[in-house]
Amino acid sequence: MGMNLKIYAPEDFPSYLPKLNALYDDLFSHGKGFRAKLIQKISSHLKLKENQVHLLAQTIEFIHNASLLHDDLVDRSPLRREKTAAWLKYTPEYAVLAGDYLLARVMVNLSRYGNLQLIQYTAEMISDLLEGEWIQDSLIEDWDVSLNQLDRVHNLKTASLFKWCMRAPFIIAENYDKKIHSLLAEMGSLLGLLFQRSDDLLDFDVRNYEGKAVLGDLQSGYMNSFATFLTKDMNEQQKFKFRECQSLADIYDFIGEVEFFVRLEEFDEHNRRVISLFEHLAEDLKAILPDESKNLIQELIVLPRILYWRKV
Amino acid sequence: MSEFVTLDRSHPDFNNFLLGTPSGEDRIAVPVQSYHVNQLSERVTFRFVEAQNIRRPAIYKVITNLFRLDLLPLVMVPALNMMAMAISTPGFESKPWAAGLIILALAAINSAVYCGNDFIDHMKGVDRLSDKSGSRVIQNGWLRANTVQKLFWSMIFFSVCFAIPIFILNPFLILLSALTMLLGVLGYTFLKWRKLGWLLSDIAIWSCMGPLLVVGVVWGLGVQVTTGIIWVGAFYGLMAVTYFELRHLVSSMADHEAKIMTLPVRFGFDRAKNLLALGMLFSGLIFSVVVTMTWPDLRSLFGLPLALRMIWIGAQTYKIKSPLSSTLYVLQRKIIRTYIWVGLFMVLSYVANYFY
Repeated sequence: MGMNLKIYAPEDFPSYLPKLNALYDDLFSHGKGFRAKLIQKISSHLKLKENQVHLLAQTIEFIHNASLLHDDLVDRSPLRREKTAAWLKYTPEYAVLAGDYLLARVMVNLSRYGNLQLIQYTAEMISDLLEGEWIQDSLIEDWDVSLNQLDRVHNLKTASLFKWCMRAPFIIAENYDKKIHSLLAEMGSLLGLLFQRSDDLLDFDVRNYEGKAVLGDLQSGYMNSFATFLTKDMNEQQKFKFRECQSLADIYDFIGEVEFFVRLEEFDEHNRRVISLFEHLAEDLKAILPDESKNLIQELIVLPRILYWRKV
Repeated sequence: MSEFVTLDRSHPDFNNFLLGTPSGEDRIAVPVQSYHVNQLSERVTFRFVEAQNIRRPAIYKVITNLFRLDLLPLVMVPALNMMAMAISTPGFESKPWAAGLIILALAAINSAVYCGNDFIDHMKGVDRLSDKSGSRVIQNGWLRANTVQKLFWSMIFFSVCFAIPIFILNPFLILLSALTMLLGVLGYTFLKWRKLGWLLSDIAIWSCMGPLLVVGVVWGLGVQVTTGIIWVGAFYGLMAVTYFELRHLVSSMADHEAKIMTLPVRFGFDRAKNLLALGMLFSGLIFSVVVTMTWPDLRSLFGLPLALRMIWIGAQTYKIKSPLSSTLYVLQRKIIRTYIWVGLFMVLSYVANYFY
């Protein structure tokens, strides 16, 4: 997906701060950089300059990785991308400061560039991201949370970054058309939702092509979107038994393996409708985009399927 | 033909789609996504569904949901409490037909209020932001919004019809009913006021579901109003306010987005939650006072478990961690059940009074 874009270079940070560059080397070296690639894809249709694309790509990856540094400490997760998490490998204090420093660099870079709308929107996005994190943290050990409630959290936490990826290239290109931005925001919301739901399915070893550890959310006391969907018709005693499950085999024993896959199909059908909704919005966007940018739609239309089904 | 259509507020057909009567369409348009709710830039995406493909439950379930029969205790319990009190009053001239008409009128007005609330909140978009808000009858496609609007007016008509014989018996009730209706409407409007809107709205709820309700019932039965009755009304009013503010805690994120100035939006989640906890504590204390005043002997001890239950609900409210917490829904149900238990206790106590 797109050309190789180097988001992070040691020269971006002062060399006199001990362990900072080592921490960032670890952090940036194993990420997929999906959001940066999305920026590149969209930017290519808006004829942005290389420095603009680099600024946007670096901004989103800095913000995303800052949130990961803080997330891992808040959740006390020992691993990140199959390596020791920064707070554990270095210190919790360094993890917090490293995250803060990335956000500070974002503000420095954007203010140097000078697009006030972009600065304002980025600040709002970071605010939404933190709001989502805050509320999600308040739902730990809440076993009766509904899918709609989780979607509200994910719209703030996950979708805000995707919305930014959709809108920021247009902002930096100084296209401030309200209808375009409204549609891009809605589409970004849906992408974020699908990405999160697909990620939540990994916790149940569904389409887990990367072999990630399973049931991590459940064992941390968090009912993710698929867990919520699976248990929505269960009573209190059944939910208690569900959350006591230690392995996928326990879950299959409890729910029934056939029933599990029936519910999975229902969940997938629910999300196919979301994908159809995205495609509808993409058509609306195509109708109002300038002619030279209409090919963007062909790039965007495949995204929800890639994000949800995890296959190209 | 596309499964979806997106309209913004300025589109000439926007309101028709929200009402469920899109021009030139036999299919039902169900709103699936709403952005910038209750603002000029609002955009709504609708999904077209063939009427036969809507999975509608049995009609009784649709009506139960729409008329919020689960919340009927908020109105019926105080009314039945007053009826039991009236029966146990020496010299009371029993008029079963009056009691029956009062119950029917209250049931009809209760249904009308929730129909109207569903309709308004759907058109404004508040119910489209959360799947826990409102009855979901319109959002699920079970009934079109304009049908709900028609049911609202029908229930208003029925409540007036049932109330007319009672009004003839006691014309002052017309004034009281008009005042209650006015306060009820204002209670909703007050929420748009920035500073004291939440307080005026709560006073309106307290009055309508407390003192005005109980006074209206006793006047309708031809019984004199006493201080004890006012205290009972104050207690029920406070419980009702606490219940509705708990619902505002649940909807605080959506209300914030739609700029509706409820208590949690005005003061923040933590302060609002603490105030509600205090509200339940006071409910328990007032209930103890009411019971002690009514039965100033050992019988009042039987009311103690209920008072403690209210205090316990207050303590649970204080512990809530999030506006998205599922405990908020559990506590709402517990308050309604407490209403029912209180009503049962009061009715049985008055009946015991009558026989002994």
